[in-house]
Amino acid sequence: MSKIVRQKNFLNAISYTTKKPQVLIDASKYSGIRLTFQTKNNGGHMGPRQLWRKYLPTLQFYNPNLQVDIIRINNTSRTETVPCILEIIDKQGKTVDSIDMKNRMYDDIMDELLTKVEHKPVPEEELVQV
Amino acid sequence: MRSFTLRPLSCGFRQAQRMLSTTAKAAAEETVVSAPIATPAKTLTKDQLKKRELRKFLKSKAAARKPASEHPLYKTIPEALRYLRAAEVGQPSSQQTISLTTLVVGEKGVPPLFGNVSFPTPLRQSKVAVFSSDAELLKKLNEQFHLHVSGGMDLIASIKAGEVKVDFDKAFSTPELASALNSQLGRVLGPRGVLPSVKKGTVGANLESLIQENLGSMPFRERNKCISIGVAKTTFSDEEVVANIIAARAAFKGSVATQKAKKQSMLSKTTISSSHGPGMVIDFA
Repeated sequence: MSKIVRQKNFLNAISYTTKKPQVLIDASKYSGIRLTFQTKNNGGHMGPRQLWRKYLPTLQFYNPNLQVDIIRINNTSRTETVPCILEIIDKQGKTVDSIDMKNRMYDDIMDELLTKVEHKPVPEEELVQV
Repeated sequence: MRSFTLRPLSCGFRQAQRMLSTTAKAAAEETVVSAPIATPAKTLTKDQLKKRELRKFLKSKAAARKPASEHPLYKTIPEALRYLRAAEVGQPSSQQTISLTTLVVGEKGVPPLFGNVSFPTPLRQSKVAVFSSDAELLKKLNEQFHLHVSGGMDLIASIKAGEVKVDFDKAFSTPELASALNSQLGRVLGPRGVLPSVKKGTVGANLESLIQENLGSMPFRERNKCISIGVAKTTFSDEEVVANIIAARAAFKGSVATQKAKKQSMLSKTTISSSHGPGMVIDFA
């Protein structure tokens, strides 16, 4: 694979080939989302990290004004637990809804986010392909 | 038909060879010195090497003349920024720097390009220290620039004693304190690159204009045939990023114009990228 093809694939992964997060979230209702989880995978914190890496770039690409905050907590102790939640924030900065992400896969979390947030899919002509 | 009969034969031959090589390897090594199988590397004459280099140089020169929009990864700046902002989603703000890389095509022996860019929107607020024995001047400068630390001989003494941390990025001084700074703090400030000196242009009587010129500026230098410099953060607006890129272009072109060489270097392909993002070619001409 040439350098240029690899780079095109990278760009397309953000804007075209990742289908699930290609949605327009209702900007009049929500201002952003906030994810809180551990820096390390143990204790069921892998799902949010994968969600961040795989789906959030596309979500941000089609919703440029959506504020995405990620709070990662470094936790080395075995006894204490760190919250693993996704909060949906409205225009006034209040938490409208939250999703527990512990021990769940990224696909599963994305599905639940889409059921809880009002959205519509990106029209075919607005999709960007390199 | 023929190939059908040949195949088992050749297989058998290979098997026999393998047997030989494993069982009687030691014996074989003693008796037969095997010749190297690989063909010798092609050695080019000096003339050929020169020609090849010239061809490479002409090719890169031709590429530099082509418009950027012909590149398959060409993007306008707002499009590129949309991708970069998406790629940097959720990263800490310290890791969201947008950088600009320009290839430089120049002949052999040409001195490298260097200079300073002063950005309309600086990437970060730099901490400034001012050394002067004039208390009134310090007060005035402090109001204007929000200095990190300022003072006269007393400040020099306290830095030397380790009471005041050296955590500023730029330092300025009036001429009467320059020699004292050099002798007392040369070992402390010198290695960090914040010792005021006349050569660097950070010692002068008129500190106000000096600080004004130096505050938002960032040095750049050609390394490995390219200039790379951080131009913005992903949190900047499109207009701010474009203004910073235009400032960088003016500075790069200025350094090409003042280059001391018979044939001046050319600026070639320019890419914009970020800490975790993809690189895209932009129009920089």
